[in-house]
Amino acid sequence: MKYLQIMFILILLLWTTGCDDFLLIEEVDTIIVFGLDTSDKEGAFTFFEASPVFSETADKKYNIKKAVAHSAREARNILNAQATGHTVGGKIQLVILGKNLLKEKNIYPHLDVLFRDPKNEINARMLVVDGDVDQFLGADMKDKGRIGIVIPDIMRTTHRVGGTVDTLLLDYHRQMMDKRVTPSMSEMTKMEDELIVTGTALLNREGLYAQSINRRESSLLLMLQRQTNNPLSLDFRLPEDFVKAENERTEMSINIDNINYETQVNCDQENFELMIDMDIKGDITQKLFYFDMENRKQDFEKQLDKQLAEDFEKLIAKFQQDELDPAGFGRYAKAYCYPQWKKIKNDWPKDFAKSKVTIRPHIEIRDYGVQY
Amino acid sequence: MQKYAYNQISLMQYIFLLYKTQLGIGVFTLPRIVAEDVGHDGWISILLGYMLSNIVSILVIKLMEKHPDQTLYEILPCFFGKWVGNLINIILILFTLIGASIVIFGIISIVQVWSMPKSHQFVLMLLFLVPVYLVTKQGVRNMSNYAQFVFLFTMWQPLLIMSTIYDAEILNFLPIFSEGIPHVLEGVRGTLFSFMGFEMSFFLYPFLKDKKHAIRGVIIANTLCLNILLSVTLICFSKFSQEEILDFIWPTLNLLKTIQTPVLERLEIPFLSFYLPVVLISVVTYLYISLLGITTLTKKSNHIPYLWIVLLAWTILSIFYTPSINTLGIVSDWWTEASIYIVFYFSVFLWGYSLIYHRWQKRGLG
Amino acid sequence: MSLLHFFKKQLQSLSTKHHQDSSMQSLSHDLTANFKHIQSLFSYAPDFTYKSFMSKSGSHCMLLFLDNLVDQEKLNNQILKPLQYDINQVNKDAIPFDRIEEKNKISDLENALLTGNSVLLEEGQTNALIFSTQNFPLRSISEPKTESTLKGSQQGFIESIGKNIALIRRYLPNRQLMIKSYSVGKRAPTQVALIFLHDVANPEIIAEVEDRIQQIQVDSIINTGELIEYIEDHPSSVFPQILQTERPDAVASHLLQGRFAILVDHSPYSLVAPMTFFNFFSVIDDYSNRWMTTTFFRFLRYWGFFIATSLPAFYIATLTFSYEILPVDLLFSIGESRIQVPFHPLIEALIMEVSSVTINIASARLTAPVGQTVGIVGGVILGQAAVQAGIVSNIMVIVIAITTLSTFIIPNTDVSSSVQIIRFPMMIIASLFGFTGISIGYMIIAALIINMESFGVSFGNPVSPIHLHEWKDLMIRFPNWKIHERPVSADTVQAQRDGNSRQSGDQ
Repeated sequence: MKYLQIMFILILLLWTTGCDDFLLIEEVDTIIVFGLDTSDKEGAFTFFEASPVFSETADKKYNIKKAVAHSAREARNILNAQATGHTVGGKIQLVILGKNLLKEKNIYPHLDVLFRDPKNEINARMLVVDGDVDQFLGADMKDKGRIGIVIPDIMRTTHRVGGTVDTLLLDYHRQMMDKRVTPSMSEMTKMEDELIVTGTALLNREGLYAQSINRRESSLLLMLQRQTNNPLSLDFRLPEDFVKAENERTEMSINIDNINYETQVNCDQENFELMIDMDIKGDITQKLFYFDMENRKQDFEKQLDKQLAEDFEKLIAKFQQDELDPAGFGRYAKAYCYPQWKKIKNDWPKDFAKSKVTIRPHIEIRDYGVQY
Repeated sequence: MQKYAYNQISLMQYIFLLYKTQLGIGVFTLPRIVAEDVGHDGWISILLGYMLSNIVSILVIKLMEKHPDQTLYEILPCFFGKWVGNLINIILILFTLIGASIVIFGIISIVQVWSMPKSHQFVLMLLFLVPVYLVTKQGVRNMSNYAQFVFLFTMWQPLLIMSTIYDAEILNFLPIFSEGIPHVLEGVRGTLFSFMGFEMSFFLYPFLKDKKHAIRGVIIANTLCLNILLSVTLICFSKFSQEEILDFIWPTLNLLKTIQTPVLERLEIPFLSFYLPVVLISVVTYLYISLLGITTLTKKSNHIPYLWIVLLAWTILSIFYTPSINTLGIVSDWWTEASIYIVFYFSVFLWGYSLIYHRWQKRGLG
Repeated sequence: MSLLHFFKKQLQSLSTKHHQDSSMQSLSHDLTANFKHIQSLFSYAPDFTYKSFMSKSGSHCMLLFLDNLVDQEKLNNQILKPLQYDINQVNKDAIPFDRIEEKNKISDLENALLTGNSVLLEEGQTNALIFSTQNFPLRSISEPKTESTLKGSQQGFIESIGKNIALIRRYLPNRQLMIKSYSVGKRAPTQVALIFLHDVANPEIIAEVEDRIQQIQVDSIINTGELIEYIEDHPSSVFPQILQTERPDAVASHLLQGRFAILVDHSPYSLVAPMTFFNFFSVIDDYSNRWMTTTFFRFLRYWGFFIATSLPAFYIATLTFSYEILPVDLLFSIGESRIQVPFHPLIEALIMEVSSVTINIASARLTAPVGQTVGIVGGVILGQAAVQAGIVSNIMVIVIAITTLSTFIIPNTDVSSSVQIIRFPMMIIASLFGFTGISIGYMIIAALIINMESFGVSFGNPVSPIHLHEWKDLMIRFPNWKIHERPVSADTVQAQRDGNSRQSGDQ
């Protein structure tokens, strides 16, 4: 009986002191999209915030606000002045960065507020926009839906078929912190009111934009990153003399289901040497020409291997040219050549540019569909 | 002599009480601490810390076997005479009491940071003290029953942590012993805070019904604890790069933040809330053991008045003083340092002393 | 004031004294005086009836009884007819009637008359004969109303303790089945029977119960529920600690597990103890269903308990503190449905919860057809209208509907009512502290359960303390032939069940 009284007093006390943390979801301004772009003002950025509108009387389903400020917190203060409710960042789905901004500034320090507050979402997807963020966000979404859901959906679908990387805010954080890789993120652009993924944007060690790769190269990058959880689709155009003259077209596609990696690392040389054997299991999904698969499957696979190896070589050369390591070859360097790694660990991308990386794909075609 | 018979606990209860006492707020920070001290070989330090804890636990039990009906509080005056013995007792009481305070203030600050930043510490303190009071007032048996309940109630949590393993990066663990073995040994010190709690055998042993299996019990408890600590650390290391872990104060919670299911996201919020019972049980044990010391010293049988005093003191402290994360870190570092002396060095010393003491006594009798 | 008090006291002592005087007397030789005396005690009892006759032997006799409490048929054929025409002596042994007692105290006769016996007074005799001619208005044995079953027996207890004991004995024709009988109540003594298996139940527990029953000092016990309040360990706890059942097969099963049962005359319910919290989640049907089905049902029940105590709390906590845990799509749809509602989610939940409990209580007291109407009007129409009027949101209605359904999965009505009560503090604490509050709420509930002891047995058995072999009958019900031990929670003397093996293979 005694403790019932005590509990009663306690509840009363708690009731009177209360708790200031509560908020009502329909009254807060939940940011779904957070954007960052250049501005005319010196040292300042344009900040964008898109949040859903629940009111039945409002026409638009979402609301985009922008402010020019020096930091995200300052922008938040400006934007709060126009918000209908308390602004919260717990459900950010998308972080949009302007390509022009990325060319000039490392925005990592400016996103600090997103990492620091534990209430904020770190599973937001990162996106680089080729062009103006303002225009991009202004796209007509009437036939699509809410901007904060549609764009991440487009990105996710493209990633699933291998068209781009899938970089979350948290991955970006890791890539910026981790000395073994350089950051990469999806890139989109607006083409005549359609939003389209163009490939992957690569950032260098300093967090500045370095170059872009297209969707096919992104597939290769995903293979190098070992992110092949979904079947990747790869298109090939075979040389005409290989296919024989009677065929008009030489295009074909395969679906890659499963890759086994075998790595060989050589630390003895002056420069780091890496050789990756990829055992690729794939199915033919499209073949626009006739080929005697029954008897010459080996030749066919060899040809594909050759072409793929060349593609990889080109891609890696492209990376090395700008001192980029989006595939994270530095992980092998650290794991297998630790003494050497300790000397160069703060400068890995530079060293990578001099390294020798060889990829040897071995494609095995398992399935042709229902016809040869 | 069977003073503790009315409150006897079974081996299972003993294991779970020890295990849940060990598992406190250490889980949240351990991956960072070992990453700071050792780097990516830190998980080996945890294994070594486990072995060290096991050895000391066995010594503790060996010591207690000679005094099956006495807690350490009663043994010490026997060993060292009334004055020195009671002085050590007071140190032990302060040690356990400060341990309990660190844990409760620590979990309040974590809850404040992660889920209720605007709530006053005092309010949360009042809230947490209700279950603490209800459990502590009942004594060892109900505490261990409660620990068992907590174990069952939170069984989904290790599974949840395991479920984050899908994108593990094995290369993060290579090369093993990168900085040499001595470096790994240095890191053992930092892991001991997370294993702390097995020393409760000093005080819980007299309550144990099945004293034959006490060693087995302590080792099982240590192993259960290791299981959690090691898997959390391994998963954190495989998911985050070393640089990234150093950037997180509580890497385990950041790890949980990455989980997305179709129905629920951001599982660190429910996780942290439902981890509270686990933390509070270690508050309860430390608190009860210090109260046990006070009642032994003052020769009273009822610990509830002292319980009220402690709870009141905590409440008042929480109104006037809000420790920052840094202060808490410093205090818990001190406490860890003290616990290494009290639990590790002192236990070994005591065990050696008891051997001599008993031989001497035998000779005296003979 | 004090004067008045004094007079009152005097008056009281006088009246009790007088009463005692008249009833403590013994019978005299004078039949008329005796009759007058007894008649004066029943002066305000219109059902007090008597029949004066000459026996065959020629002595003057009087038969007294209370109308409608006695069996007229028996009275005529087995007492009056033989006495007047057949037998020569008015004697206990001579009358062909099965239960006759001889008494000479007026008070005994009075009690006998009040409990439905007939009293025969004879001229010149100081002893009266008492015939057991009880024939109370009783209903016939029917199927249990609140614990209907698909596969178990369809017999339920009725309002007579004798019949109820017989029902139990039919299941347990065993010498070790002990029945101790007590009479509880000063003004209207009620017969209470304590039933247990002598070689199984723990004698300490039995002694404790006996003691508690004997210490009860009340006017009367009308129902089993009243008795519970006098004998249970924690009367101020939310949770029931003693099972009330109207099924004799359930009682028999519990007796076999080593528990004891208490029957109260006039009450169609039996009490079973010591129970633990988790025992309330199993019913007798569980053992007749296939074990996999039962296991599934049990999981659903525990899940139901969890949902019923805390789903509204989770809803409130999510909406007011941790909206982050919802995926965006769900957040949008909840936001859209919430925007029309002007209240705090707690108020919203309270409105719906109180109406749902009201509907539940209302329909429980009404006859089936009306009850159905109330349910439909209350549940469907009210919910629909409330959403359209913008008082509650769609999701809230779904939440409350699921909660209410889950409440009724729990087989024991006492536990489901406690769950309904627990839900409200959970909602309040969730609205104050979010998930942290819910977690603390659970800890408090758990601490209260664990701190409870029922007849010396931990109420949290077998989960905390863990008794693993008893888990065979906790969530997963093992096949019956796998359960060899009696539950530890019943604290039995004899731990093993008899011959609980199933031959494997063709041996």
